[in-house]
Amino acid sequence: MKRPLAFLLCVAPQFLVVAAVAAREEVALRSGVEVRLEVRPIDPMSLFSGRYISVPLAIQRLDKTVHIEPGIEPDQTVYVRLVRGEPCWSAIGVTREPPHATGDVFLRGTWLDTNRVSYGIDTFYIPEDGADPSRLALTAVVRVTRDGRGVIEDLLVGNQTYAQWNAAQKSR
Amino acid sequence: MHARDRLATMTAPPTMRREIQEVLAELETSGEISAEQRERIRAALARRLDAPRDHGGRVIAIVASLGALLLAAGLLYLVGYNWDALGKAAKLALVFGLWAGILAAGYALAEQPGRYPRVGRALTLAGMLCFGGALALVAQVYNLSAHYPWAVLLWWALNVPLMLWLRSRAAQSVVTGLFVLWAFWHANVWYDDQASLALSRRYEVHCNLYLGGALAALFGALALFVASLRAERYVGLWRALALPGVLFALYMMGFKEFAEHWGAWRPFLTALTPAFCVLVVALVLILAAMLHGLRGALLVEAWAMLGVVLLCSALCVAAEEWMPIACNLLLLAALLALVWHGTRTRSAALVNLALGFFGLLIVSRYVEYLWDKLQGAYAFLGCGALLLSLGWFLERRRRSLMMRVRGGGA
Repeated sequence: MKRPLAFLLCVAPQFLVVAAVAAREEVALRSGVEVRLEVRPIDPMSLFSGRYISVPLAIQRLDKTVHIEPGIEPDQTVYVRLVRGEPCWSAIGVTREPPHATGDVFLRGTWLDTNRVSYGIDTFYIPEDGADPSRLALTAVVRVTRDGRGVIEDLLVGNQTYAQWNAAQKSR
Repeated sequence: MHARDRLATMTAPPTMRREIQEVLAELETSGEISAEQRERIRAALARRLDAPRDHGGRVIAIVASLGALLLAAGLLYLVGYNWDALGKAAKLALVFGLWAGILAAGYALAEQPGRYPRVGRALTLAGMLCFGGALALVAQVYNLSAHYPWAVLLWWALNVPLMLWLRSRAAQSVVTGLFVLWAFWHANVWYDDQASLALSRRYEVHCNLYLGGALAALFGALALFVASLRAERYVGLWRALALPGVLFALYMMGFKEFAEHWGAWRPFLTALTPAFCVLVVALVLILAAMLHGLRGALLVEAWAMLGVVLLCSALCVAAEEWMPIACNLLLLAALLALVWHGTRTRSAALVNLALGFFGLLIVSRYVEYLWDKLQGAYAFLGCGALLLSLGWFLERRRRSLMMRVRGGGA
């Protein structure tokens, strides 16, 4: 095999992987249903990932009003049905199969134990010199795809997006 | 680098020179070459073997590599500094543009037209690192996170083809470093997930130590495997990591501080799972190398390293209270075997490695077992006397071993 072709074959998978990740998230952001979910932020710093706010969703811990399908085992994939509420959406049921009714919005997650679900969306990156909003009431704007994958689009601090809130903090 | 250039930059060890002289003398004695021919061959070989080493080229490669790393870091810093002011599309364009630009420049300089191969290779190396940067930046743009370090796995795994294409020791070091980082990171996240281990005490230190030993054994098997594929250029680094790695793991396992908790974890199979997985891969590589028909010193080394690490796992479960004694005895046996192997294969590096570990072992055990039993001045006196005797012994043994390595008799 000629060296130029071999070089291209070596680097192409790297570019494809990074582009595929970006494209997948972009498609989810453009086509997903926008839901707003309450978050309970903790620990705003990581040495490895840069500055971020850990934003575990409030629905990671389900309350007693949520109907949970019996027989769900830890590490099993589950689908959490969401209903619109004000100001945030809330969970109403957990099933092992995705809901079939059209118009249902559901988040896919992994069942941890009794009433805890991991959705894999709990990180919001902020600028190195950005203000820390983790002690305020926060809402995650999440785009949910038809197969239940969630992508964090933005973080609301009160009624402002994080960028607006941060700019206002800096101008003070 | 062409084969001719490589020969020009190679210096022959004294043992090889002596052997060449001996072979030439034998050929002359048997009448296959004349004295004149022997002299001509000797002169031609001397011209080639005594050629000055290409130190300048190595310095250029190191300087260029450092420059490429600084350039990549500077670009990332520049982008990071202005990150908030950029839109998503601009961020992605910058990430892909810079990364592709570095790789393209590296290729152009190293290959086509290829006037600056060392600088080109250094830039390609920076491109390998940029892949990780691109993954991290895209994750940041889309607020992605993962429980397991899949990004690091992708980083090293997808750089393997580029390492093979580059055929460079530096690229091999980068991929190897990323692999080790991933292996430890992944194993420790996996440990955190194991509810069954939550009640076991101090298993992390022991299991990471054991995983380190298993990874070193894996590098030994990898060195053997690539040798069986005739890719000798990759053997050196992995073998250089394997032998000291296994010896160091064994040395650490011999500390009595660890003894109380060796194998006290329940369930121990869960605790040892990451290391066992690594050892299974090592075993498969050794068997594959044997199927390729490879025999010899590398095969013996790979089996020995795998055996030692497996033996430690059996010991830490079956007789944890004997671990310090067993590991020290095992280390001594391994060092003796290494000296024997080093003199047999005429490798001064192996002999020096064994003697170095022997010195470290003696001093460590003296401090560990006797230091707090002796009063201040006696401890210093004892330690000084021990080091002096050790130095005398090592110098004496090393001299005689080196003579044997160089073929000068015992």
